[in-house]
Amino acid sequence: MIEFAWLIPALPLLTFLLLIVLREKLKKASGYVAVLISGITFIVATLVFLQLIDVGNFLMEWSWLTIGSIDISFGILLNPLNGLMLLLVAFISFLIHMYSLGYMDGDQRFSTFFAYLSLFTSAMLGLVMSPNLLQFYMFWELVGLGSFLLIGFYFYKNSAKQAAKKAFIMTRIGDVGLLIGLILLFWQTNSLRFVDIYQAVTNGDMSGGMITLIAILIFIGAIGKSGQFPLHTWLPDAMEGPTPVSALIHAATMVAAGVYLVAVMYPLYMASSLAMMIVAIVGAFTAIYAATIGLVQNDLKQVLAYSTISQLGFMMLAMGVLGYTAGIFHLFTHAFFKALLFLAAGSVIHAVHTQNIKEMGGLNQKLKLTSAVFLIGALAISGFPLFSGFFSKEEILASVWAEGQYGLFIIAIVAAFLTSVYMFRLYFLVFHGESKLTLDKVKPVPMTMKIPMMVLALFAIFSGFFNTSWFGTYIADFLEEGATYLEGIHHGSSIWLMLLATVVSLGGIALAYLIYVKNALNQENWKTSGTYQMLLNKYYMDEFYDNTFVKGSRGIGLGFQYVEKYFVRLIILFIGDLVTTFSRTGSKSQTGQAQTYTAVAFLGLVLFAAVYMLKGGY
Amino acid sequence: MDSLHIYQNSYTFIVVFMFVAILLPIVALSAGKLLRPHQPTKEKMTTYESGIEPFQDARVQFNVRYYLFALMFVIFDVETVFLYPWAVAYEQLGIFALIEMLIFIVVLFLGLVYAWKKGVLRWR
Amino acid sequence: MDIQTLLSFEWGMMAPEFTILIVGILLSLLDLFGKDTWKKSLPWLAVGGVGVAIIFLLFQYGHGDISILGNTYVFDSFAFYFKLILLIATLLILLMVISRTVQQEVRDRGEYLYLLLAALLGGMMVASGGDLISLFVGLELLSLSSYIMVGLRKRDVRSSEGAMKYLINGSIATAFTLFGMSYVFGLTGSTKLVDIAREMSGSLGSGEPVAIIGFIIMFVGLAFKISTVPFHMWTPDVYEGAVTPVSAFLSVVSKSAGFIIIVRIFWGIFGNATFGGSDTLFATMIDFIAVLAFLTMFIGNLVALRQRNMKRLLAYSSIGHAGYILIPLVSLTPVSLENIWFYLLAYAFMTIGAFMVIYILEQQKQSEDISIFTGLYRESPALAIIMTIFLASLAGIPGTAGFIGKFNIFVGAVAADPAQYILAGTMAVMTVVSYIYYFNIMVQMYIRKPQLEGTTKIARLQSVPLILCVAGTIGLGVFPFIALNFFH
Repeated sequence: MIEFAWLIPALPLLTFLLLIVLREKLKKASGYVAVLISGITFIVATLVFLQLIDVGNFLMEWSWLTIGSIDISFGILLNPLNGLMLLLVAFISFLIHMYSLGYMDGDQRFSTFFAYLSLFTSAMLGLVMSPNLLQFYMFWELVGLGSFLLIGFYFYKNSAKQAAKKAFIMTRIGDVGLLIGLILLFWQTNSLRFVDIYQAVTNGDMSGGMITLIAILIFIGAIGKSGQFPLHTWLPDAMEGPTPVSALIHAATMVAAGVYLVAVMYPLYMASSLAMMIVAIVGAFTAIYAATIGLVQNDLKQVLAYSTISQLGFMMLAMGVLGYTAGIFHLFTHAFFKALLFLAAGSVIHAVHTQNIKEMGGLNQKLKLTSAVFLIGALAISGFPLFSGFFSKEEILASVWAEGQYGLFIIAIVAAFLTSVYMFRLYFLVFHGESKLTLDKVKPVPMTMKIPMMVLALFAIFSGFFNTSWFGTYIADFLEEGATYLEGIHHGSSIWLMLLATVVSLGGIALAYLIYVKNALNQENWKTSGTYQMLLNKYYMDEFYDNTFVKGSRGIGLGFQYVEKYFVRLIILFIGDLVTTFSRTGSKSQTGQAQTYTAVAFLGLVLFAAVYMLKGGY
Repeated sequence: MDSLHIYQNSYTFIVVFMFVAILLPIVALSAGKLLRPHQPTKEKMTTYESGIEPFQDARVQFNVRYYLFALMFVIFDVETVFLYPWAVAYEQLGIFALIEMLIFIVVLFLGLVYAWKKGVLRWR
Repeated sequence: MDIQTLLSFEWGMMAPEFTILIVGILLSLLDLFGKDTWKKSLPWLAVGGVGVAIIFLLFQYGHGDISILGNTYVFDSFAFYFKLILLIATLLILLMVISRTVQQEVRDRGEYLYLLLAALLGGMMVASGGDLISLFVGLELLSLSSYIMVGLRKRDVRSSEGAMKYLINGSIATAFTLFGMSYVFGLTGSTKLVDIAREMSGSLGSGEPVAIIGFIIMFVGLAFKISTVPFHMWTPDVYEGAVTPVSAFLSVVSKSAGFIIIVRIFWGIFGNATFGGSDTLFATMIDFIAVLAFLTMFIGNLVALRQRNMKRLLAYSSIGHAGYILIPLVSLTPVSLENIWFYLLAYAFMTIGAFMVIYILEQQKQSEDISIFTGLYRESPALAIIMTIFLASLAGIPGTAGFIGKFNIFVGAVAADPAQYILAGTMAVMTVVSYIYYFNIMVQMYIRKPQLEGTTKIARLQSVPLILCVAGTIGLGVFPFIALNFFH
């Protein structure tokens, strides 16, 4: 079965091609085709994963280009890490395809949506299966393209257009870093295959400084893709896309690719403590930074977006403090509960046609199931005991503690506290209190949307038990099996940390309850304060970028424009004229007379003979 | 290189022949012009038609079918030209030449069949 | 030659040629004597014949070099690989002919088919020719059949004009080639390539000028066939006059045959001839061919900018491509032959594909102007995307066969000794120029509104060659090593 692993990215690609070509004919059926094929993809991925547990690693490579001694190949690599990712992506993608059937119903570009979604799925699956950095990079860009297309899906909306553009440009800044890192690596190791890179690091083929430089450059790529500070501003804007897209791409899978990249290149990071430090600090800062912003936003999806950024920060933090399994584990659980939260948010939006939480309230009576699953998601993300987020977040905290980074530990605790505050603020404002909407405005939620939510809710509750110190650390064992380079990473937990995490989580929930249900705090005072305004405006980051980089580059551009106008243009005009003149003369000489043709040919022959003679041929 | 001398020598013949070919008509025509009396009359200027009085312009359009017939004739003419020497030297040439000649004849036969079927041999 | 030697030859090696020959004769007989009801299935017989020939040829894969009939027929890996291109291309073109089921453009469809096969046979003989005479006869068989095919639309003025021009220019080319060959024969006293190569590998002495004259004149003669500037002038008129499948045939099969004979003769004979004591004669003449390559790329691409008739545009673009293929001919590296082969293969798929799209559109819109492409994306997105793939490949965009071909040629030119930087640079610049006219077609397809009446639909038969060409173009672009490993 494992030999057919190539089917996994190929099937969604097939959907894409099918839907693009036959979209006129399929119309409504295209959604069912996409769901069916993504279901098959998931089944294949499961079978492959089950066999992977037995065989360990699997590698299949085809040589693609040989230049001298350098062989550029492409192929399929399956190991515990990407096997897990594969299963995760295929599963969530399948659920979201199904959800989209209901959510996108009646949209004019229904089949186009599914085509793009399949393209993205294919690229993401290809990305996690890449055995070398070049292939990885190609899929990385393809994933970015899929994201771009889907963010800008409502292209008639100006904000969606702008958001798509922004996402594309911001992630491209990160990609430049990745590309430079990739080129440096290739220059150093003469290969882009992951195994060769690991080998080079273990053999000490690269100097320490070079390793650090490359690791940081690659991390810049991860920052861009995973929305870490300071390249995070595109992610909240990306919520302009349809909600299933936000759930799949901008919560569960694509944004986690940055974390995955760090995990894939982990031997490189382990060889450089400075790079690890940077990863940890950026992660911790992002976690708390985004959490504070999340406290005051009034757009349902915006809050979730900032929460995603914050959780990704947690994962990066774990990566930076040798908590490899903790980071991947959190990636795993986060994918379920964040996808669940987005889907629940989607069904709220689907029902009430607004995203402003100030206009909602009391929805738990009308959207009973949605309310319940949202609560489950919120509990999971807040780290409520025995929910999935509890175990993974607790492991991250344990890793930070074990590394001895007490400053980062405090930041992480605060961020975890803020997480439960903003999540329950959201929950209480949306589902509790007085209903501000008239009853008839609420549309029923179809079954195709309910089932994925229920499945995800189950996973949001129970997925934590795959890796607990009580029942067995299955995921950690699986990840570390056979990976010698992972020696020295932290895991394990302790009772006091669990208690602390519980307290933090419950404390956050209690605070949110007091403020937003009991109105214990004078909110008017708070809302006029400078801090509130600063948070509401997201620390003015967008304005900052606008005033510095955008305006600055515009200024430089203006300067170049003059150079362009008076210097380059003249050259271009000259070349253009030259080309036109040549082509005009050329086509004029085509008189249509056979005599001329023959004459030209003879002239050519005579000229050549003459030149040859003059050169001294005789 | 000996072969080259032979090569260049064989071109001397060509050069000689070329000169002869150019000179012969010039000499013959100009000698004739010098020797013959020149007294044109109207009858003498008319086109010679084997004693029959010309009744139209010499430039007439022939029916295109003449060409087709001529082509067919030339093809089979060439076939005969090939067949005679082959028949004479049959003993020396052996089986290979026989096969080759059969192929040649079959190809020409196919050509004849084609022409026949397409109506080339019928005068319409 | 007695019967024993005759039977001792491995005639089986000629199975592909015999297949084509027999099917061709069968077609002509059926066309003459068959009932009208049979005639409808004649094209399928032709396709079947070419298919069987391909199968026979594939069975010979890996067979050792062999030559029969006193070295006049040679089977070697060179012949094998290039024959494969000719056969595949002809198969695609036959499928193209079949796809037209309504409004027959040519009254004598049977003739059309067996002339195609006769021309293919000529091309295959060229690929396997080991003797100047068999090479010449093969080339003439190809050329004569092509002249007639161009003129098959008897009542069409442009067709007759094209055929006439092709005949005149082709005859001149033939005369040149034969004249050049006579010099080589005079110098070495043999028409067999092996003997000539052996004779020439010694010191030529005072024979050098003669060899050079032979070289130049023969090359000029063959340059007509591959339409190299300044011997290209017939190309656009002929492509325009011929029916589209024939244009595709001329542009792919005929051109490939031209390259095959050039490689066979010039690398085979002159590549061995010592000149001036040190270099091979071919090496001293590299500049001569390089100038031709430069001119060909330059003029082909620049003049293509101003064409509005699609077949003329593709004619000029094919001239430009001939220039690209001349580069590996002069940049001598171990991979030159591989590069030529790969480019010809890629070129076959993308060019036939592009001609096929034009063929479909011209049937439905009754025009050959570039405006047939306006608004194609709205009328038939599939066809527009397919055409985009072919154009991308012709322009050399990564992911397509054309890119790999150009990339290989470029690397070969830079890696060669002496490196052909000027040619490589010209190729890069001219590729950029070619973007203008290829992308112009894309603009017409995606941005403009439809200007011409007529619907656009792809019939089932029409989709067959299209799918094959797309598969070839993309397949070779993504998995070039399947083809390149096959070549080794």
